[in-house]
Amino acid sequence: MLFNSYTFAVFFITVLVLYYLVQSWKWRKTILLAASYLFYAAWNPPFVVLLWLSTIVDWFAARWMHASRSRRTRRLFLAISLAANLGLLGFFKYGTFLAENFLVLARSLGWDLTLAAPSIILPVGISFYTFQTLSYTLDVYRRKTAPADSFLDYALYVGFFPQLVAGPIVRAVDFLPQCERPRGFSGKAVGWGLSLMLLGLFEKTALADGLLAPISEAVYGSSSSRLDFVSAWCGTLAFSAQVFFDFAGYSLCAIGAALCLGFTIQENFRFPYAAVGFSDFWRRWHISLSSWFRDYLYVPLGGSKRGRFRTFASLTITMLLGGLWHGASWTFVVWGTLHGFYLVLERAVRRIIPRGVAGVSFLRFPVAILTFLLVCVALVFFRADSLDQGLRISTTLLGFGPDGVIRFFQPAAQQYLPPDSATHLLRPEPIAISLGITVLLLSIHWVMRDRSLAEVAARIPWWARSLVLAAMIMAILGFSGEDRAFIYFQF
Amino acid sequence: MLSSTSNSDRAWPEGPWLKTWLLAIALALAAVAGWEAELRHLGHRPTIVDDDALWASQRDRVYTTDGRKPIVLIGDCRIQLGLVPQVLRNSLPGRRIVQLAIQETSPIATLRDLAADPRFDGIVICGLDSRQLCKDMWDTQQRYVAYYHTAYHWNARVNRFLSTLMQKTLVSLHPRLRLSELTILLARGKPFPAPYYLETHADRSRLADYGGVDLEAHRKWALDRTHWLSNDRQLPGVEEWLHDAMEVEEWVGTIQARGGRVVFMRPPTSGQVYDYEEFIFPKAMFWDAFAARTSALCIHFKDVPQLAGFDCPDTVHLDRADAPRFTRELGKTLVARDLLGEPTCAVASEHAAAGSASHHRHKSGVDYP
Repeated sequence: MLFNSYTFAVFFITVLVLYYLVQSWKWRKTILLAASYLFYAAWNPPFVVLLWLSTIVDWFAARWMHASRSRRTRRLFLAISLAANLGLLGFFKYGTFLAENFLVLARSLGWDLTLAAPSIILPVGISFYTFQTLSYTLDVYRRKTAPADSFLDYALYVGFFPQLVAGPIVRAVDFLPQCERPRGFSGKAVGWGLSLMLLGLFEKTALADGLLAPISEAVYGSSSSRLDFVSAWCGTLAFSAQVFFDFAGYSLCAIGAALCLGFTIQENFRFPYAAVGFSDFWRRWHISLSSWFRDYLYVPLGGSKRGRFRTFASLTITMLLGGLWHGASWTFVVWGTLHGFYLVLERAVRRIIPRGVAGVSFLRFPVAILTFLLVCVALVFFRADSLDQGLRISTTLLGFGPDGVIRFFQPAAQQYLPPDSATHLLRPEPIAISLGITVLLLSIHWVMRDRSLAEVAARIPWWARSLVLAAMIMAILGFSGEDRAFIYFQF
Repeated sequence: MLSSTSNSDRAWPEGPWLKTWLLAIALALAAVAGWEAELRHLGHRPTIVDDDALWASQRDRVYTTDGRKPIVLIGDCRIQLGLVPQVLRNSLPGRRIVQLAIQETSPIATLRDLAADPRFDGIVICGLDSRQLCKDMWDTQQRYVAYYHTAYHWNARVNRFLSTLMQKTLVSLHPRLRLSELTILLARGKPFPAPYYLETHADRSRLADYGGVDLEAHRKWALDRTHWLSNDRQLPGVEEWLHDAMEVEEWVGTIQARGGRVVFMRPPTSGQVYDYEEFIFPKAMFWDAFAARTSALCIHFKDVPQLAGFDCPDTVHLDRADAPRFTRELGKTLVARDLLGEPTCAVASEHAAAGSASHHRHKSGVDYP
């Protein structure tokens, strides 16, 4: 069930009314759990069994782990939890990828192998809920948290529909305490929650799908060999904005929907395109995932405590696996590895430059722009259908495409001639939309980088909020057309 | 943009939220009402977005109920624009008409799917030309078939039902009137779009009004597409083509063995497109050879005088003024060839059809001459 669907609107209103009509807290949580399973079953009903499996395995693993004093037994239960969750993920998400690559490897070694092409359907949201339950068992194993007392609360933590299929990845320590006491109706929470949902839908429907997706698809979906420098950049800038609006929009809907039900979920994006450097970027982009990798992979690998080279290796491995988490494809591996390389490079540069220079305020903006542009270059592989396409577009971006170098060194007067569709893959209007939205997006992120949306909204008079909300409703209606699933659903 | 929230209750903005939302909804409703009124004043009408879920909603209806076998229309846009389900229903009373034709595709994947469905025993009217019997086009409808079998769950059904309700009601949901489309048009200095010549209904019937369109541009597009489908491709020779085409016979046989019927109907084309099609796939060598071998009933529009006289304004599709008449003539032809085994009933209905057309005109908003 997509947030940007009529079904969800009916579903959510029904759940909201039932939830607040019932007095008993236990029954209210039961309603939410049943609604969550209904929400998940809307995609492919049999897959709800996988969700139950993950829930039950981790419920018992955590309890038995907690009860045991033997380190060996605790490890055994952790291993069971890891095997169950990573096994599910491995089979459904990486089964086909592994089989294909095994065949390629076997053939390159001269073995004439044939395998029936596996036909595995990826259950929606499996990467999110398996990571969420893993964080729970890992925290219990480390004795950072006690196992949940109530199965109902725990099942709701795993299956809570607002964040079930595309995050944010919630930690048990943040969610379970909220299940202990009844979440009463708050007009302020519902009013703000609905506003966040509307903003999320606006970002998804009007901006990501309505304006930006057609531009990025024109470039990345084109088989034309005449991809030019300007179109490659505009298509990539459009995709950079699209993927942000798409995923940040989903996160806002999730946070808003949870808030309407009285639950708070951590923020997932903090104006990431204003990041100054890549460490800063990962503190602002998909925060719940980056903090998961930091706590459960980077730190156990050694983090930054065991020397420079171990740090570099930990960063690279973490980002490579982070890339692979996004999808079973070499393009995601390249995307993750590029980010690992950026982080290593950033650390190396920081060691070289004097401390005073890093703090100079007027350097922050150009560094933020450089960070954004390098993020865009990496995103080429996030979007590309194949390594070949990724390489072709990234070389074009860097000025080494069929027309890139020539166009780069044209006389200035010619460079500023209005582009025409005969020489550019994209027409002037998409180019203008892509550049216009990018400039607007970067400006807003820069202005907002140390503020929160709630702070800004609090300063606006109520009637002006109404105007903004009305404008967003109109834009959602006006831009709605082809239904596109959220990009992060595929992960 | 605009993405930051806090976990803290204190961070939620204060204010009269009920009043804020009521005003926002009132403003949005007023703006939508104004925009709707303006669009209707300019002559625009609501249309249904024809997507894979709408197709699947019709695919659900292909089963026999109350002993009456449904008539399933498959093919490409020539069938979707040329056959009007409501008129065919009037010509063949008691029959459920299901429109499964999909523009710019070959119907073979749908025929294969119907044959593979043991519950299907209806009558298939399959709009087809010789090019669409070439194997490279067989899977062009497979995406829709796969969607129906793998993704059309209850959620998609409910969503499609609600989408249809909204799209029937609001002109502003017309894909051609999306703000992104309008922004680009206006940025190019083009005038506000005139009412679109195509109108799609909830049953996937579609009518084209070529009265106000640039016919030369449409004809050029149609000819270019016909060239594109043939040029630079390895098209089979007669023997190979016939060998491939006869593979379809397996599915025809399966449907007919269950009590169903299959009719292959070559829909009309005109002008340069017909000439080119005839040049690439001469009727006498291809269609007639196939018709002689298949167990299905074959109707080529050129072979039936009542169907041969229609002119396609854009050389490929029938105008909404002609589609109902063409549908009635086809209905008569089918009855005359004993497709349904109920000639008496159907002939009687023919008279009823003429009388009831004006009744349906008011009901559906569609003007059937």
